[in-house]
Amino acid sequence: MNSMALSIKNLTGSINHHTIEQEINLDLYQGQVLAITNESLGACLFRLILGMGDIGRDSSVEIPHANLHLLHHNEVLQKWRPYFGFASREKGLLSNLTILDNVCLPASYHSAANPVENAKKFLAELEVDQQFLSMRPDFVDESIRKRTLLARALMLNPSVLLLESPATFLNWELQDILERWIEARLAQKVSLIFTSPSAAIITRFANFVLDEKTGILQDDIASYLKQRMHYQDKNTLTPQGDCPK
Amino acid sequence: MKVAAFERFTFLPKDRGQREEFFRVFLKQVYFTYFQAMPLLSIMALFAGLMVAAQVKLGLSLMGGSSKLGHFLIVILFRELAPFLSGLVLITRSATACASELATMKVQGEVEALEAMGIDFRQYILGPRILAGTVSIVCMGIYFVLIGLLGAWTGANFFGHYPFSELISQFATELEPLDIVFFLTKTATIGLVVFRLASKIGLSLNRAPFEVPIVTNRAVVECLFASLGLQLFLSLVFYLLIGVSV
Repeated sequence: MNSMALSIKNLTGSINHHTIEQEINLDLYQGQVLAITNESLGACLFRLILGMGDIGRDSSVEIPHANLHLLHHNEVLQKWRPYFGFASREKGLLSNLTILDNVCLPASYHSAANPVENAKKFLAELEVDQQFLSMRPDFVDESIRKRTLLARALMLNPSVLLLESPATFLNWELQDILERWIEARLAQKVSLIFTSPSAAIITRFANFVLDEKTGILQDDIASYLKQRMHYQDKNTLTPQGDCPK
Repeated sequence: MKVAAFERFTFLPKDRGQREEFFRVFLKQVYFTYFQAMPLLSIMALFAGLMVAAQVKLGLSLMGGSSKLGHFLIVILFRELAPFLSGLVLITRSATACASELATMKVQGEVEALEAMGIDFRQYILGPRILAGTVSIVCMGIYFVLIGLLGAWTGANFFGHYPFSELISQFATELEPLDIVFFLTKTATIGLVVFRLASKIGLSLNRAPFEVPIVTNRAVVECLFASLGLQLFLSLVFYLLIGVSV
C-alpha cells in the first residue's frame, strides 16, 4: 500500500501579490499525479508548498511519511525543501555555472553521494548530449535548459515533483522522452504535481485535476476538462493567467 | 521571495557540502576582486607613492631634514591612501559587479531556484562574497603599500640618490603595532560594509530587468558614501586615541 506523500488542508496564501483565496485540500499518495490547468494558480501553489510565501493561519501542509510540517523557520525549510523536486517553467538555472554544475549543485550542497554520476545519469535520461554539459545555460537552447531543470529536480531524490509546464519548449520528439521520464518517476513511486494547459498530457498522466474554482480535486478528468473548455469558449478565456515568476 | 532574513548573520556553512561550495564561490570571488584588480592597483599605488615621496622629499629638503620620509609614508600612504584607494578600486570594480550580478540573479529567478532547492542563499551567495570582499581589500591594501613603497623610492630619487634599504629601514622603524591594527581594521571594515551594502542593494531589486542598472548605480553611490564616512570616522577615532603627531 502506498503511503501519503503530501497532505494539504485549507491552504490559502499569497506570494508576490498573487493570492490563493479558495481553500485547497488534497492528499497525494506515492505515485499519484495531480494536474493543474491554471499555470498561475500552480505557480502560486508550488511556491506556497515550498515555503516561499505567506500561508493562511488555518492552513496546513504536511509530509506525513517524514512527519514534517511546513513551518516558516529557516532551519526547518532547509530540511523541508529537499523533499520536493521543483522545476520552474523556464528560469532558475544559475548562469555562471555549467549545465552539469547546475544539476550537481543541490546534491553537492546537501552532501549527497555521487553528484556528478547522478547528474550525468539524469541528463542522459533526458537525452541531453555530453557536448552541452560544459556549456553555460545562456549558450544552449531552451529545450536543453528545460531538460536541465527537470534533471536537477531529481538530484535530491525527492518524494514529490513540482513541475511547471514540463512540456513547454519541447518538440514532439522530446515530449516523447519526457513522457518516458515521467513514467520512470511514477514507477519509482514519486508523486507528481504539474501545471499544463495541454489536455493531452493531463489525460495521459493525471489521476486528479485541481478544480481552480473550488480548490477540490476532481477525478473525472475528461468531464472536468470538457466543462472547462466549454466555459472558455463561452467566455473567451485562456487557461493561462499571469505566472508569478 | 523573502529577503527579510538577510539581516541575520547566518552566513557560515555548517556541513561538508556547504563548506565546499562556500569555499569554491569564495575563491572565485577573491580571484575577481583581488587578482584581477592587481594591474590597476599597481599603477595607482606606484603613482601615489611617487607623488607622496616627491612632495614630502621636496618639502623636507626645503626645511633641511629628510629623515622623516618613513613617518610621512606611514601617515599618508599606509594609514590613509592605501585603504582609501583600495576601497575605491573595490567599489568601482567589484561592488558594482556584485550588485548587478545579484540583481540579475534575482530577476532570472536564480535566487528563488536556490531557495527551492533548500540552498540558503545567504550561505551560498552572500557569505562567500562578503568574506571574499573583506579578505581581498586587506590584501589589496597590503599590495598597495608594497607597490607604493616602490613608487616612493622612485619619487625620493628625483632629488638625489636615496637608497631603497634606507627607505625600508625608515618605514619599518616608524611603523607601530597600532598602525598595523588600524590598517587591518580600517580596510577590513570598509570591505565588509561595502560588499554587504552592495549585496543588499543588489537583492533589493523587485522583478524587472530595467532595474538592474538602477540598483547598480545606487550601489556605487551608497558604497562610496559609506566608504568615505568610514574612512573619516575610523581615522578620527584613531587620532583621538593616539593624538596627532607629525
